[in-house]
Amino acid sequence: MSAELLLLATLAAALLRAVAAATITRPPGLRDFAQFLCAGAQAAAAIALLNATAKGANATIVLASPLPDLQIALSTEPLGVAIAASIATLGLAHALHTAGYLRAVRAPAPARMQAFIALSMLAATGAAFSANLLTLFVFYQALTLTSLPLVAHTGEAEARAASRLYFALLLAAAIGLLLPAIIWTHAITGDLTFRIGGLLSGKVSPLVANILLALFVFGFAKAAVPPLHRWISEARQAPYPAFGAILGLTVVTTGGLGILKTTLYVFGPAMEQARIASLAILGLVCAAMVWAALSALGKQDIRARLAYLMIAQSAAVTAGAMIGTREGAIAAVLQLLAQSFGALTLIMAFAAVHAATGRVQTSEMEGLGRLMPWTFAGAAIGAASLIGLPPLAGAWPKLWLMTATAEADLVWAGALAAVASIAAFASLAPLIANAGVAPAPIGAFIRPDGASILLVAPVILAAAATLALVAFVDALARFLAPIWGLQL
Amino acid sequence: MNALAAQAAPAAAHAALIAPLAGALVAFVVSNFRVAWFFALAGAFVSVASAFLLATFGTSIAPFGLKADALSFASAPIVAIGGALCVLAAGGLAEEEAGARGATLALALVQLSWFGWTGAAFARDFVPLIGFFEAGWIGACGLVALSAARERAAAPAALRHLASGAAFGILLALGMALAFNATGSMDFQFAASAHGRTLAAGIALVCVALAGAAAAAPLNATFVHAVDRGGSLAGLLIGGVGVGAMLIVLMRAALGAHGAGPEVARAVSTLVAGLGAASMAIGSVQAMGAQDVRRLAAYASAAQAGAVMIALGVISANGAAAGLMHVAALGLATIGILGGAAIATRRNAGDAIDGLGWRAPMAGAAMAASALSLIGAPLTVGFATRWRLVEGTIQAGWWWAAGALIAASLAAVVYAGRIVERLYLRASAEEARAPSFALAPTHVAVTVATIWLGFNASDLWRAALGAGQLLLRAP
Repeated sequence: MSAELLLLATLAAALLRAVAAATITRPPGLRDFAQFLCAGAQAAAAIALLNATAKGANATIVLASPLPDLQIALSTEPLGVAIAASIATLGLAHALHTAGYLRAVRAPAPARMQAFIALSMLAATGAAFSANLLTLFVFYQALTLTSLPLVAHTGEAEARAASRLYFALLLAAAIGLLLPAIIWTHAITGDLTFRIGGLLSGKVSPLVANILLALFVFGFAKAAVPPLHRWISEARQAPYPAFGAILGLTVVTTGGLGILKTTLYVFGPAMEQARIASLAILGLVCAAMVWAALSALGKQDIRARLAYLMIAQSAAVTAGAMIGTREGAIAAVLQLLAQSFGALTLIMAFAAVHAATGRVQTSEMEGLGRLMPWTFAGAAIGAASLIGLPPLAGAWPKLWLMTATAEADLVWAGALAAVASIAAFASLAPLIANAGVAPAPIGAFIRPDGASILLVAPVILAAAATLALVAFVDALARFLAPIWGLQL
Repeated sequence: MNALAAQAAPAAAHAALIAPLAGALVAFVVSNFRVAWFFALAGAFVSVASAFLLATFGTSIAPFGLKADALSFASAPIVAIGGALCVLAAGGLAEEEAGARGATLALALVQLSWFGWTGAAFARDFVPLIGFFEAGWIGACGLVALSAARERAAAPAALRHLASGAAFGILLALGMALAFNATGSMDFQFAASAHGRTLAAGIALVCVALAGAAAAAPLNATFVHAVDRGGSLAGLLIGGVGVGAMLIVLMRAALGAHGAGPEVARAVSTLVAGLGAASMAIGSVQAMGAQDVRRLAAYASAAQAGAVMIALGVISANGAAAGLMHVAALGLATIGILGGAAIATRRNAGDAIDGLGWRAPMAGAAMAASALSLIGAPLTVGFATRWRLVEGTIQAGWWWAAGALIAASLAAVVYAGRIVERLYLRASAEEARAPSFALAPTHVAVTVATIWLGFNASDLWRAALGAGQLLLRAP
């Protein structure tokens, strides 16, 4: 199958998944099976595309031309393909998890949630395949719209208020900061196509480069760069599967992807001209990493704690991108991939705990590891990867980040990243340890048979994938080599 | 085939104008509403088809002594589609709002007004303009007054709107008198004159009058009342067609000042951009504070009209083209929001549209697409027009204007975002009512057009750019 067909198949499978969720209302088993089937097809197509791209195949598809000099187009560049493959692979486990969770808690409107999760995956995958800034913006905005109903899913007053803030913040940043940056870039270059070596290279003054970089970074508010990070804590109002989709699969990933594509393909060597802005943002995100990881320590609600940890993780992606060197870019890309695997594993594990026991507070986890050993084993792997414990996948980006900061004479940034990792350790390690060593609570399960296989299996699968990612780090670095071949 | 179509272009120019007038005459004569509506629909079809033929092939010949030019070609489909959508909506609204006896009269007034606005958009000099302007305005006021059968406050609203129309007409006449005094011509392509100050003052008065007629804030009080108190059909007509037509005339006048020399052009540019900025700021603030959706749409219209005027102030072909495109987007958005809201039962209640997106999916889709277009969301026509507006101001070095346009978009996130939120994220506050299927074609047409132009606005852009280049005589 050609790269073009594989690209279209990846997107079509996500679309079909959404349609299936919306149209197959009964029986629920058939709807869940269709979800799994479509997610499987999406994963298969994405992995086949990854393989084809590694062998040198490439594809570009123009979807529309809204204006004579603007195109909505998709292409198979390595960074996008890698991210799309990770979304699709994790999406398979997540589809199982969603079905299991929705059955266990008898959540209202399960079809609607599954449909919007599929649509948000479609938007995130489209963003990954975007061939230019306009396409990235289109799918980025589509993601805001398709993930909004996930935050508001319960329909409760708190969820509605959270969804309003989520929508307003993400949309306002995109329209107020990102869109002007894109239009300004178009006015300067007459083009928006991503290219290795940078679209703006040699075409902007330092003043304009600094302003544009700031507009882009804050415009991609999905990357949760403070002070535009509040949406991420509001997203905790979403039910667990939606929360997992937002933090582990789609929204945070697309924010990081946007920043990476911009720094690699729009700025490239022009990052040197935006030195003031990049250093200021680096300082900000490194401080945010520490602050968010320390804030997470004080959160008793599991989702709130995970949300703050994700702010810290996402800040690490931005930090890597802001260093403006090859090593920094490698760190950022690896971090983006590793955080998705680690975070989703962790979220699905705690979602399984919630579905089986109804417990949502960190203090309520004591001893549950004895009752749900597989789930907490998965949680331990996800947590270890997020913290950055060697040899797990999450350790390598941290290592590259330290190396990059040291080589760029930015040791302070590396030190702050290390402090953030220690704080993340303090947030997660005692929690997991207490779950394993404390005496098992009596009568913890809501139902006598505990957690169903549909809840536990996805955690094990995602944890296995998180472990397996270690083996692929080198191959991944080789696959991604073209994107930073011409970096500074 | 193309040669045949090119030969038909002069006839198309006639048909685009005469079809609404003929429909109005039929509606005046025929007492059966369904028969009159059938003729109106046929006329609307002819008018829209002719407008597209005209836009594609062009001709300098037009009826009533009018001379069609590139601006007429580009604007003809915009006004024709707006008018046709109003005629389509009249099938579901006229009898409900004007009663069985007044329905045919309402339909006749819709078409008379549409005829007036179309002629105004075609007119290149003052004498025909004032005639068409009055026809359009009086038709719209009559339609507002007809709503008094259901809403008593519509009658004073119609009177006030009529009075403001007269005031704008006098101001327009005064401005043209000054311009005539300076140049000896009534043409909107103003020529340089030794009496530069008199000419500048004349053009300024014309621009202020036309800005007021286009519902620019703070001159939009009667417009808001008319939309709020008049029936939904009147709102669609005034907001969806009238505002756009007046903005097109304003475009002709403001860019026509380019020929009067750099000093006059600069003065007019400053005035129009200043009026636009004020309208955008005031309209945005008012829209953010509006509680019911009809007032919100009226205020939003002022804000968006302000954006068009800023683009005109840039005095560049790109800016003018962006402005003309935005007129199309504004017309569609206004018809989408007011047309969707027309099926809510408690029309002036703040929560009238709560949950409407689920109760009436087609109306909800039209309103949501229109609201997103006002924000400038991708894959809606509003995105393409917003892009060109901001790009046009950046290219001209008008950074403040680019900032103001972005700020207006952010304000739109608040007020138009509230529409989307109410449509889909709130529980219904009223008894479910069966949606009016007579309005469904209008809802579907607006939704499709808003999204279609979001995917492909290239032809609209080329036509608009041609008009902009002609008005500035740019290569």
